[in-house]
Amino acid sequence: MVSFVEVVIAAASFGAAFALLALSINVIYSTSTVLNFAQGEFMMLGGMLGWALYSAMGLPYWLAVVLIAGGMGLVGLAEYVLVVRPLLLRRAADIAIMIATFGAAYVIRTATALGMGRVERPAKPPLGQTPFVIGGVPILPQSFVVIGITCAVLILAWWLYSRTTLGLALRAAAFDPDGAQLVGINVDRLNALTFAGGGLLAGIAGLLISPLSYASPWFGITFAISGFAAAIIGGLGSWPGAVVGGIILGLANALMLRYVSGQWGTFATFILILLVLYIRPTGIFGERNAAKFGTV
Amino acid sequence: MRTQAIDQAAATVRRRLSVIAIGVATVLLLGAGWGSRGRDTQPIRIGLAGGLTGSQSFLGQAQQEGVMLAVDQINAKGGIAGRRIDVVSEDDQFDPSRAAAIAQRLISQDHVDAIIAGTNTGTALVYAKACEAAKVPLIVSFASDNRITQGKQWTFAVDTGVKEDMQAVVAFAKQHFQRVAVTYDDDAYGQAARDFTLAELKSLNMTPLAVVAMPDGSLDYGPQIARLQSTGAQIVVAGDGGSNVAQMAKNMVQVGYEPLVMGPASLAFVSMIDIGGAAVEHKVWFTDSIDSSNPAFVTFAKAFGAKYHQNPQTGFEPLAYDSMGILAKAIKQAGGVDKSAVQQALTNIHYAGASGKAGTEISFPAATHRRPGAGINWRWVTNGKFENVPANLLANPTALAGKP
Repeated sequence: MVSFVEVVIAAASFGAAFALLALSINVIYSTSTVLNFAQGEFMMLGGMLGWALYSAMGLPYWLAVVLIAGGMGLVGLAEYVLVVRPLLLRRAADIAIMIATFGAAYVIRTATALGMGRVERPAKPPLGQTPFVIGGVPILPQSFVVIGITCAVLILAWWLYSRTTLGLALRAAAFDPDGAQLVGINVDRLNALTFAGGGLLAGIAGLLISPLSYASPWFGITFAISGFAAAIIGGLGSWPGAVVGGIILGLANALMLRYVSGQWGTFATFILILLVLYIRPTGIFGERNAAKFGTV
Repeated sequence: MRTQAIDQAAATVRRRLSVIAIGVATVLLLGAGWGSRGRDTQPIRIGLAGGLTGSQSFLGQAQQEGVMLAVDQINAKGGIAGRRIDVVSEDDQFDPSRAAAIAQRLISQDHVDAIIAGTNTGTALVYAKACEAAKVPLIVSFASDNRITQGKQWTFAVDTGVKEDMQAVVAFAKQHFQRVAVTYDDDAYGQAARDFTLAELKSLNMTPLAVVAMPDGSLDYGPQIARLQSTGAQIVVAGDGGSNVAQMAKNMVQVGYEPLVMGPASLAFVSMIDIGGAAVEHKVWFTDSIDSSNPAFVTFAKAFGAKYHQNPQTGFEPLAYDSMGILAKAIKQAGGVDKSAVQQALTNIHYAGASGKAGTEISFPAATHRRPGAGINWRWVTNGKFENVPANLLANPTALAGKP
């Protein structure tokens, strides 16, 4: 039983971080309908910057969080301005924009590897390595940090989207971009804002998750697969869906690895995802007939 | 009268033609002589290829550094029989398709005399195939899959194979422990390690308590460790890479399960120390080609430090250094770069190198073309560095077997 609880708590920590990544994917997708495949690299870069600023340079953790949030926001903005916006203005096909984001992912990965070293980096957890033992179950302090910060960010996102004028504008642009434009909403600016927000969220997710394992310039693809899987299970564009998708993905993967097979666990997880999508093609919280929608 | 004049003219022409013919012949002979003398003094061209970019670029870097140190030393002493060594270096990025193109370029375009290449199994297999077809001697510094040299004539591996490594690990486990579990990276290398481990366990009438796959580069091995922990294994035989074992060791410490983890030389990645930190100290043992007490290694390490301002931490640098040393010795014994003669010299070579256990020699038995397992040494991490495991613990490792 203890072993089961250990596995579930660790899985919940990773699931929470992937929920953040899925949320960042949804934030961008719901407004711009762009599937940004560089999100995994944003998360990777957040982890690498976390190692550089906190573990290697010894900056206070809060300062590292602020710098990474700001820096990753700028990276997201840069991707929009340099890669996505020119294609949107030329009304490029969705697939062309998607491929361009793959290119951006490659550039970020290579630049990080060349600039920060091509090796794995140990990321120091802010609350130390010694587990808390609760009811006989050892729980890493970083698990509390990941789950706590994820919950805080989700509440903030909910408040922003449902209680502010900006949130109203974002939802309007997501629902009907042309109509939003007609009533004076600058959709281009909102798109830029969502890319900045997506970069920020993914960067924070990387910062949070790296002390549970390590930071590496080669993790972006792994992150992207998990993030998109979580977003798709939950329903593309839905923020509750991102949370539920992340948690389901984390739990399913861990329990399959524990009780099915180390070799076939991940395979079994993705079969499960296919089954979910077979039953609900738009994901758990996605809307039917919603090719382009926004429910963030 | 007219006939006499014609005969004289013809005789003059014949004389002139004779002079011209002798002149041309002399020039040709001299030219040939100069040419052959030129070839004898031409540099020996060695192709050097490995992964210098990618997540395991440190392997390509180690190969480059080890080989170039040996080349510098040989050239500083006047080369091999007066001929300098020129190195044509290529980055295959661990990509087999790039490796195939590089192998062809080195052989057909650069006309190298021999090749040192293959920093992982996938690319080493490609280089071996190309060199066997072109009959060019190939030295593989440290890719350890036994298939690389099996049945080959022109390919020689300086490191022990994963088979020999896992045999050593299992023999050690059998000697000291009863409860054994097996983990392996879920890739070609890990699966080969698993198969050799299981075969060896079976031959010793041992049954592993669990055989657990470790997806490469996973962020969390908690679920797999929960399975291992439930078996109460005292020792985990790990056919894994260093980064994965480091993450595994961290996860083990987190749940208070600390068996001895033993594996092949693939654990000896510096990233294991970086990532694992205290979790891998004394708890992870591996076979390696470094023996700190080997005098040749000490000399090598001093020269390495002088050139690169850092110490060699793993067995990869001395293995690469020895690769060049072995090739130089074979070329010297062959009396030149005739490829068949060099191949023959490599087949019969005995080389006391910087890698391997003190007092052992590198040779390439006909059946394997790979260094025998006798060169294996036991290493661990202590105070953040790779060191030899102390002899008293080798005799009684159960003292460290921790909390199964």
